[in-house]
Amino acid sequence: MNQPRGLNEFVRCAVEKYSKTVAKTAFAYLKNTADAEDVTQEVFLTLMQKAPAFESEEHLKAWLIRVTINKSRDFLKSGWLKSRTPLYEELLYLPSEQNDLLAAVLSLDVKYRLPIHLYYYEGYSIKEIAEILGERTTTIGTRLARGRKILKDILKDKIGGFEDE
Amino acid sequence: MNRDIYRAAIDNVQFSQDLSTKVLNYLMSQPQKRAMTIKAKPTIATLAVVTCVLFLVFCIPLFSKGNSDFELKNSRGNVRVKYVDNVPDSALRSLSDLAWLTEEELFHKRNTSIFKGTVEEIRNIRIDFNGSTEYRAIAKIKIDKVYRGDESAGQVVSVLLPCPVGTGLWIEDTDVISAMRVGMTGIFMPIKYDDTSYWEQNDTKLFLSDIAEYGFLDGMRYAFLASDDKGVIFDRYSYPSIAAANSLDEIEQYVVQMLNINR
Repeated sequence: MNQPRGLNEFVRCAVEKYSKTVAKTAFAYLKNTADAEDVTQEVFLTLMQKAPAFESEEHLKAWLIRVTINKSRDFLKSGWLKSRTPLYEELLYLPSEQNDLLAAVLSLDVKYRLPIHLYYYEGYSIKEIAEILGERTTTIGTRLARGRKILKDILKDKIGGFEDE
Repeated sequence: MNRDIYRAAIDNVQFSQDLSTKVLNYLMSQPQKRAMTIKAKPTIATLAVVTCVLFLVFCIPLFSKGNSDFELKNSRGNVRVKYVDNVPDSALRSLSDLAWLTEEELFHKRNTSIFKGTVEEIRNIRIDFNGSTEYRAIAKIKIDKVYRGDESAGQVVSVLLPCPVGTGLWIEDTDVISAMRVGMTGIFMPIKYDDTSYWEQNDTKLFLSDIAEYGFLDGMRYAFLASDDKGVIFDRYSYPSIAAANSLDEIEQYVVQMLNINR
């Protein structure tokens, strides 16, 4: 069988290794799984078509996350949102503690919740997040601090937000 | 502990059962359509449009070379500044540096002038740093009252804004300044430009005093704008002690208090 142009082993491995990472990042931006999966497909399509050269796995992962954020932003601007399910319905199956925290994070402005997601879930440093998002390190530090403070206010009667680390 | 809860929550978000297979199937269904698009021959109409666009992109800057609305007498290199009516979508970057500052530091770390005034004019500008373009705006503010600085009531000052205004574009970290409109009254805390205030980019050096007398250090924390429907627009997270303020009078009392602290 002829292999479709561009779907080589590298792309296949990248999909298998990072599709969840990409989907979760898109979910943090778009707040629903259906649109996050659509964006995931588009991100790997871009990988396949552009076929950039990567210095390392970390470089590839950072590139995928950056493209995911750009595609998610374009997706929102286009108005082509598939899911109209309210967020609280999307997360009903989660244990209440997880539901509360995730709902609180997703209620933040995207400029706060993206650094929070990249810092607390992906484990990136502030400097790495700044490079991925094209921002200054001090700006990301400030946004993380503000995001934590807002979460603390939202969750003060529940689970207390994130500790300063 | 809560980092673990967040991680568990994200890990438990339910995506399609075999997401990677879904993505691979999507990729395998795409190339044929995309290949056909790439291989399609351009029509004569398409070629004509492309030619016109290329002409506009490359030739108009040549015709306008040297055309600047500002004298730029101190600046160096091939830099030009023009007033513009339209700002492209690409003008989405802000150069603000939101280092965390306490309320005390916001008032006293830099020697900003502080005054109440009314916005009389706002005009967007395009800065061309030898081919690399940036968009900002210049506001003219008539001063009504001075709290700190050498200014005087009745004086009209020009202030460089860290973003273009009134374009409908949202630029990160400029929420307050982006809300500025002609006719608004506010309390402003700009820095007065001197010979250490310059912007170097692409082998050029623009002395900011060549285009405005003052500038805001960022688009969020150095202005308080009175709004008919929102009370006062300002960065409430940076000023938690007055986060509930709803009038410019409350802000004024706060400003006076903060300035008196260090006397």
